[in-house]
Amino acid sequence: MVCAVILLLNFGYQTMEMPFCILKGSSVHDVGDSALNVTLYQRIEICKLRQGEHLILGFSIGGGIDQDPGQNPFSEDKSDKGIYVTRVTPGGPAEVAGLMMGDKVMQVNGWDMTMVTHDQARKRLTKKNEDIVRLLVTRKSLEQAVRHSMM
Amino acid sequence: MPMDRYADMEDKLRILEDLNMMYIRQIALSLQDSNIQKKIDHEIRMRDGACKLLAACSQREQALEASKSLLTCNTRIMAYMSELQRMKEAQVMQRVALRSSDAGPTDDRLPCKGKVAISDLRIPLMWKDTEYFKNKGELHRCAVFCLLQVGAEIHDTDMVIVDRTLTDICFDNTIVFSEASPGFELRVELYSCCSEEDYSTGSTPRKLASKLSSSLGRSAGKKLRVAMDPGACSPISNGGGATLLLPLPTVVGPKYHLLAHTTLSLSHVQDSFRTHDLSISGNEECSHWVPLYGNVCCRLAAQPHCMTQQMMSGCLKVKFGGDPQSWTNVYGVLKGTNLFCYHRQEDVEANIEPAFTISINKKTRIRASEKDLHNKAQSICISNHYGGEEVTHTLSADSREDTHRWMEAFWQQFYDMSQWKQCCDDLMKIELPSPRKPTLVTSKQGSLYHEMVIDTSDDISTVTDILARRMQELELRSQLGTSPPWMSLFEDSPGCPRTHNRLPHSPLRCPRPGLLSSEASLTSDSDSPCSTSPCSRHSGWAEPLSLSSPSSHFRPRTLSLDAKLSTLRGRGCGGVLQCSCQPPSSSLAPIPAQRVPQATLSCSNSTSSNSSSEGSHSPELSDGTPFSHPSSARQSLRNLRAKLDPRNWLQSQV
Repeated sequence: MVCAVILLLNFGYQTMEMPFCILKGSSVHDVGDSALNVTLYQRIEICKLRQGEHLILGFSIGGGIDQDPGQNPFSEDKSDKGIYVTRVTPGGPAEVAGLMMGDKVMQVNGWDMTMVTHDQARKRLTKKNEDIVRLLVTRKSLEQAVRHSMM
Repeated sequence: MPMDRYADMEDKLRILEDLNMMYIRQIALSLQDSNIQKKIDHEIRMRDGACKLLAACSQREQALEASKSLLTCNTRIMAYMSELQRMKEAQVMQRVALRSSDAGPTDDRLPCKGKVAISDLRIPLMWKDTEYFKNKGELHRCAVFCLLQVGAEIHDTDMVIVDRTLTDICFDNTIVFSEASPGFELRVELYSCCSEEDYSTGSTPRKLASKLSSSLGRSAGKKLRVAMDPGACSPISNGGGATLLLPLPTVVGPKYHLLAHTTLSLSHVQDSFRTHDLSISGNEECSHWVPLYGNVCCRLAAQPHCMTQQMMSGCLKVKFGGDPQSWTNVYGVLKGTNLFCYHRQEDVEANIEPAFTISINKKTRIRASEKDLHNKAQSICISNHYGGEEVTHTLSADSREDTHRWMEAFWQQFYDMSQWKQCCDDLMKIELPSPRKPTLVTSKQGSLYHEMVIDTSDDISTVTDILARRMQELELRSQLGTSPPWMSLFEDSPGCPRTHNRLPHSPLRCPRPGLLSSEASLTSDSDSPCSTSPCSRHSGWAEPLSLSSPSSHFRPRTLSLDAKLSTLRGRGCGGVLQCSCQPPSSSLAPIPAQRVPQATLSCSNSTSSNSSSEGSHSPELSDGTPFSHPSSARQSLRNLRAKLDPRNWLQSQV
């Protein structure tokens, strides 16, 4: 049984969804740890900013399947080869959109980012014909917050 | 005209040889030693057989082998003759000594003999890198083998063909000399012979004609010199100083020349591999030249008889410490560094554990004590230090003579240990060579150079090439073991549907991440068509990698490098697709051949996947955008370097 819970909040001119969680398990009421898998995502929509002849997003990424996951300071699991946000330019489009340092990028415009090389990830974010990128990210603090609230 | 002189010389030499043989036989008779005589006769018969074979055989390999046996037989004959002469001289000296008045007592101790084994000979080569990496021209091949001599015992190794794809000459034989004294000198000689020239009087290719004429001239001159000078040894002498000549000029066929030699002795004996220096004779001008690094690595082990055989055995009475009452009857066996005391004599054969063991080593002190108050016979005291404590055993034999013999045995043991030095610390293992000859493996010996390519130009393509090969090896190695965890994810990458089942460990599907990023960065940084379909990326890279896969064993390595350089410099990655995907020639041995079918299989897989990739984006790789402008190329080179450095955890600004 899968239930999805989505809360919508209007926040100014940007639509920001509260983190939603997908609960997989035999029953929501079953609070045994083994039966419950919780993964929390947040959708973040970033409008690219034009600077000269480049379109920038205002953050840096690290990681990739071709990189050494042990050097990732943000990942909890040191074998995680996903793409992580390593830096967010203050005042840039990413910060405005709510992206935070340490976020793990799961999807970009529908393209999977969990099993890509570093360069593939970069390319998917920097496509010249796209002005807006929609990221699906997950964040440790999100998970912890929800977990605390559920307990 | 010269042929007449040769014939003349030949006759003279034959006569000399017959005279020599008669002389040898006389000496042997006088020495009453028929052993060496038999050996000499045997070797002469072998030599005649080898000469006949050499004249009759047509194939180069056979000729080389026959020539090798000929050389070995000759050397053995010389050695036996020298031995005979030496024995004769010794006999004469002895007679002289006996006649003179001051012949001293000849009770000098002689150390025991032992087995000496040399194995795993390896001689590194030092090719000029230009010659080696360019890999051009004909393969200059030489046949080499080693001759090993201790005293009059001579053994030869198998013959190995050496060409410039080898980094070392390896001889797998284990050679055991059974009766060597501690002062032995093991002479190792490396002979080589150029394996290309045609010595037959038939037509020679024009190319070799000049080489042939010059080399014949040299060897012909040598022969003349030898023939003219009756005192000189033949060119293949072992320096024994024998004044006997052997008829050689009429032998037609490949001739071996001494390339290097060294002498090993007791100080080189060790239970592990050691490197020794070689003295090289000959230079680059010789036809038989092989560029040696100057060392030889081998394992030289020795087993003195005192360590392996029972030197003394008999009944004893043993007392521990100073307690006068506790005499034990044992059967003692002195072997190696121990005196084994068994309860009964039968236990020795039955392999039952001894009652106790007294160690007899360098630190043991043995002395004959004065007559006991209780016993008339002398007793022997053996003191050892066992972990800081001094332990004394007292032995007593049944009679005086026995005690004396035991003392004698102990002295001999100590003397042997002092002579054989490090060989008596522990018993060194000697593997006896298996009686049947293993079948010759014709696969090429692995070449270290191919794995350590460091090209002179610091070019992108060489870096990618190295990386490609490394990835390849990782792939192929991982097929045997567990593949890296991310490999499996390429099986079901959601972004790229597969229309057919792939092999679980398809070797070339790892998209060479570093390579891909590098190639993409060479073309253009935000090249959208290239980035959308990972499948098509694979097809682009299958071909050059298949070229380089078997290259670690054969010439195609340079072909792939050249191809790489030309395509990458010229036309960007578009040209890469056009590299032909042909497996190399069939002369590859079984192991590398396994790689080839896989390479071709993946090639076909990935080219078919090319057509089946996502339709929304053109899977084009051959848009072939060349390098834009130099600055971006330089930047991309920097990027590439950063990307390829495994220590980095890259971060990109987007």
